[in-house]
Amino acid sequence: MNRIWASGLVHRRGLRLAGTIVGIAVAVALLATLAGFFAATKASMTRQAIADVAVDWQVQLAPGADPRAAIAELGQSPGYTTLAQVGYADSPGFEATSAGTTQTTGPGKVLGLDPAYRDDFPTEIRDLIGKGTVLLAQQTAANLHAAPGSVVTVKRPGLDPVQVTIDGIVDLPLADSLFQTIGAAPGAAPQAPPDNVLLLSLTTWHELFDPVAQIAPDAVRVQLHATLPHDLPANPSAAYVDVTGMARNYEARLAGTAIVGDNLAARLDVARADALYAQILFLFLGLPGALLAAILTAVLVASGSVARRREQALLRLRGAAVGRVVQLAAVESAIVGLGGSVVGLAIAILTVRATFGQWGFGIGPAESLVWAILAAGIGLLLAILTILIPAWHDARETSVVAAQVAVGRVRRPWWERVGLDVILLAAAGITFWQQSQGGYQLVLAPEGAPRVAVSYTSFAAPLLFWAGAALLAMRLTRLALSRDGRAVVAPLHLVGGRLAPLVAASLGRQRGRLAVGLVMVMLAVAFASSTAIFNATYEAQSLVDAELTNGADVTVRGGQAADLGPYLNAIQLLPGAAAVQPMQHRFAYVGTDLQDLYGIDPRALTSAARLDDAYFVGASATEAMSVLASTPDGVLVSPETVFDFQLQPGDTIKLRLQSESDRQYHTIPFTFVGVAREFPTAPSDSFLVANSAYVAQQTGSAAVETLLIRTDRAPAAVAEEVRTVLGATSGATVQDVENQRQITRSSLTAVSLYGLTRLELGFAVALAAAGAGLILALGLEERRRTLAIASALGATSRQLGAFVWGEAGVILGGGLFTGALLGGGVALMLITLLTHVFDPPPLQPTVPWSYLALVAMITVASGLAAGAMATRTARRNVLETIRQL
Amino acid sequence: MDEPLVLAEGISRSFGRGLTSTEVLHDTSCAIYAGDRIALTGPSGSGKSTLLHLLGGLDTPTSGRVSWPGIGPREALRPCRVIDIFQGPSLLPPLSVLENAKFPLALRGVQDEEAMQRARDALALFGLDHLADKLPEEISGGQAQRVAIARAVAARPALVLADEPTGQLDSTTGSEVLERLLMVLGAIGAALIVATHDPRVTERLDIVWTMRDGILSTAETPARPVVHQPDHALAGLR
Repeated sequence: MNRIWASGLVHRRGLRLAGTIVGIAVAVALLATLAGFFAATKASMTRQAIADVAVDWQVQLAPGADPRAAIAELGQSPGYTTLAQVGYADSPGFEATSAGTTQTTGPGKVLGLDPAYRDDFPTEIRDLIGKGTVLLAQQTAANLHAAPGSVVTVKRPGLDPVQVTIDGIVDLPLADSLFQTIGAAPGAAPQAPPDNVLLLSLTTWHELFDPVAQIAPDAVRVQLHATLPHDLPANPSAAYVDVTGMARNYEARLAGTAIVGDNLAARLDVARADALYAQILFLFLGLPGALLAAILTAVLVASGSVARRREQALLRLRGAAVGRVVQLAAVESAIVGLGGSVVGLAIAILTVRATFGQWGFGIGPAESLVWAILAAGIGLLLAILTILIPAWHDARETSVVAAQVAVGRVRRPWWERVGLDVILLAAAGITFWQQSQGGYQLVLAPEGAPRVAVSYTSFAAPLLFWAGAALLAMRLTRLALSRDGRAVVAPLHLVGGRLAPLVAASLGRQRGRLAVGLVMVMLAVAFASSTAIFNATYEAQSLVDAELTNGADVTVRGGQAADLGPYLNAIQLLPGAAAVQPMQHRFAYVGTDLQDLYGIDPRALTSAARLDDAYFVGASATEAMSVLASTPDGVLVSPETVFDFQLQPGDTIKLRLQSESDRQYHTIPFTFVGVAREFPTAPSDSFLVANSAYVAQQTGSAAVETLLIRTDRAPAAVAEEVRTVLGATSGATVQDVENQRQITRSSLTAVSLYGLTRLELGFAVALAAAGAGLILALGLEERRRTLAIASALGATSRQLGAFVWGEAGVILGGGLFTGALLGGGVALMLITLLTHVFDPPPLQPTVPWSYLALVAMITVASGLAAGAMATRTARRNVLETIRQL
Repeated sequence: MDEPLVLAEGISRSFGRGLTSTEVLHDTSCAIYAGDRIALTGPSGSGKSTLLHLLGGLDTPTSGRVSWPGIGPREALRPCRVIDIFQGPSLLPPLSVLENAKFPLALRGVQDEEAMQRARDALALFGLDHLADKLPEEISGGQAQRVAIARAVAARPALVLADEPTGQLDSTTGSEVLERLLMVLGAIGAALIVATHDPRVTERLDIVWTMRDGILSTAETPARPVVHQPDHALAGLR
């Protein structure tokens, strides 16, 4: 009997089965693919997080501690792949004489480096001018007016100064971590790196500072810089816990003679917060998709419930017991549950492979198997919940006559009576308002704490909004189709002619079911559009971020050592260079704080560089540039500086800039005219923007340290031409925006979002198509009998079409319209709530019209195909259907 | 003699293909004229419904030919010239009783007011006017069958093909409904062919055709024409 029933279902109810299997397959595939996304993301996060840590551990030894013992313990556990000793000594100051004048600096640091240090940790030190073992940091060289060959006097605590001859000038790009205060209390403010740094070979350093250690032990320390074996857990949180645990264990074994400066853990600390952002993005963007797929499947299955109930009623009329009816329903559950799960897992395997380049849904085969079983289990559960349970319930509770009813009087649901939709929307509005006021943190990652947490209350607003909007759409659809659908009679005249009132009445009587279909299409379209808008906005902002970091399409940085002015004309003549703007990049003291100062021509800068209104406080970009242009001595400062120095517009602010004539810093008055949050090429903290003419006049130097180039060809190609113009010896670096974007993209959150959204956009289209096509197709399959009777009574194809297209119009038209509205709303909400993911925050969302048009077209095409098929089937199978009456 | 409404010439109908092919109607010829009252009897599965579908143009014979000289081409049969009354529930579920009754008229493009009036009159004739706003799910099976009959009457057809039209009615109601139907059809001069097992229905009709194993016997057909007098009480339906 079971076999006969199964065969009958396959042959006679093929569409119903196929539709349900597709629905379950989409739900299973989405779930399994999201699991794959998670696994891939977490694995790549740890890998990427630790890939470019210059020094994993900086082990600071207590004065007098034996480095050999510390090294032996380190070799035992956790082990190391590279290791170097670094000496740190405090110096009261440096002194140098050039051109008859003597320059003296404040306190500084003298580092002693192993000969192999530069090779083992290559990113710590960058050569600028000259090479050798006695190296001076760039800023110190500027302070001392020193160059390779200069003799610098190094003061020593309690001992006579010594003199060294400088071999080269270097940049220390990772000075923050190199000079970190090891053993600082968690939460303590980071200490600024020293202004003055001298690098020596470790042998020389020992010669000069071992005697100091006898007199002033606190002024001299030795660190071990180590790279650890990177066999860490794939999950950043677990890796963080492992690494911090190893550090504590190591410190304990050395009984207080060493403290670990754990750069690896610091990086993993950021990565685990990023992992939480990925989790949040999954919950915000992925979970609605999985839920939608499940709901869609349930509705699809339910749309076949009338026919299913009628079949069960026939079985019962012919004497089938409740047990037999339930057994046969179990057969259908098994077919669609297993079929949907198998198809879904196959889709997921291929999708994960195509999207993330891995086989399986987890880290390792065991985790993959667990996820596969879980996803397939959910597919089976969906089938059981939507077919078997209702069948069991109907067999026990419903009469045979009631089971044969196809269309009943529409009743007002309880949620509509209590106004649940309005309540949910109001709650969403209030929650969103509270969260968008600022001050809340989506991810809580206390520094040094082993656990990170997500503020899950932030999910309330979108969830309430989704639910409230869905119910409101259902209410409005039912309202629009109430009173025998009189409100839609006029438009129905287009397809139904004189039949329009009857078609409208028919739609009105089915408004409950139509409202569900409309809401399904609405949710699918909203899911697609919200994800697409969010993604497009993120992509646009990543470009803005890259442009901001890079400054322009192509940026040439000469640094303090290279004046780019002589190259300006040649670069302007390059075919791809649409506009070139010179920009000074100097340093200026604001009080004791050394800040980057950018000298620009405010009237012309925007010809080459992009300035967003969001970069400025209290003024648009145009206004800020205009004010600066009209105030020759004007300066734009960062918000931190305004706060620190309590500045008011119009205040005179005295900066100290280096003069070309005597290389000394002199006080120059500026007028505070505005506040800039961001500026092309500027660092994220404090900086200054002034008129280049004024800076040149006051410092006696019109040197140009940066060139900003807008291109009208591929930036990478123009960058290459610029490199050719500059030649190998200019000392300048050239960066294009696309290259910069790749660097920005490789940050953890960006990678996660990129994979997730690609996945989501694909499924969104599938869900929209399935939502529209299958709901309509299965709904019309339910009304095959109605259409067959109408056909037998003489309805022409056009007249039958009036019923079909009327229904399609309500579901597709209404679903697309409300879906677009809801999608836009959800996207705005997500952009506001996930503002921390964006850098810089967007001024307005970016709408990907082409993708949205594709979604709309596929949705409509899918609905049209379903409608056309229903109309054809209705006329073709009239007698067969009538025989079943 | 008038030309027949329907003329079947040597029609056969088979279902299935090859070895599984079954012929349910074999080389059948018959004619139906205006005003005919025909009872089509025979055991279940003898081919009565198949013959009705072929005569009504809902189905096409495997061989032979069906034509409708007194009505027009096949395309002209519906929605109002030929009406079927099906054995099972045949009301459109989302439409009210009144809307169901006027449905064929709406398909034909009759003005809404006129269609409404004719549907109301037909319902009233069968004592159903109080159910006009009910949905099919809200009325009994017997009432639904009467609505289907009223729907046929409202269309003022030339030919009604009914498959067990009183099957779901008790004997008294069944007789009353049949009488009403006969009266109305008499008033408009329509022909009626009823597939039935009920001897009381057969007794009320003038002609009895018998089907057995796909073969039609028309031996009990009386001499033509059978003339029915119009009933003045039914003037509203003309």
